[in-house]
Amino acid sequence: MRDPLNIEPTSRTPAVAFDFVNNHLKISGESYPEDVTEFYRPVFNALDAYLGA
Amino acid sequence: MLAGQLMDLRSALHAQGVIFAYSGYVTEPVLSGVGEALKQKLTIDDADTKTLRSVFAIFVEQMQNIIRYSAESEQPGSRLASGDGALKEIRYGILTIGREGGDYVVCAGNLVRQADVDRLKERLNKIRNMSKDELKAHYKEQLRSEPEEGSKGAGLGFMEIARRATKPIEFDFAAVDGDRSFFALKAII
Repeated sequence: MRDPLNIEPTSRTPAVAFDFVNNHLKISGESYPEDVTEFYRPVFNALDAYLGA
Repeated sequence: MLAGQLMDLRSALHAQGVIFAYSGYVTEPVLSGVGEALKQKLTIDDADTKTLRSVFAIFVEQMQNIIRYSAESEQPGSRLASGDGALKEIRYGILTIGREGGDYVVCAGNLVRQADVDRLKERLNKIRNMSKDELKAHYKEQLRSEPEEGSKGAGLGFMEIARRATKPIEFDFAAVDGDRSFFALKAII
């Protein structure tokens, strides 16, 4: 069973709600982080694992 | 005297159609704060969603260029740069947002090292002459490749600006001294 990924939104970063068990992946809100790589690294890592990349 | 001086500065900006102007050291919280006011103004102007998003995205890229790359900076001494509440370097630049006819205009300027001028000109000319389709293809290619040495991001900033602008980007350099030039970049939306 894969753990979900949940990130709370801020004024500059979106909410991330990845419910892998139910195949429901949602990103919503504003996205202009100070460091875009740092913010999205865990998001892409989770996606790669989910997609079996 | 005092009112006259400031009023002259304001009038000079107004005459150029400038709505927002920031000249000074730029930090991420400055970007956030000015950005919030800009969003409000664009919403009050009843700008359409695509315009609002494009103006805002270009504003963010232009501000982050100053924050990351301006060659005019203040460095905190070692005592201030460590421990709790450590200070980071701050970089100086100027950014304006205004109107020209029915368009929005976002301009940014900062000092750059003379040694970087030719490389910047070459990159900007290349981007300026690309079609929207070419920009999209190069953007995707760059997204997948490693950033250039000295880059603090993905190397996408200028391309993001060019893609969002509705007219070709404009840029200019003015020599300041032997070591540095003033770099100005204008985007029309």
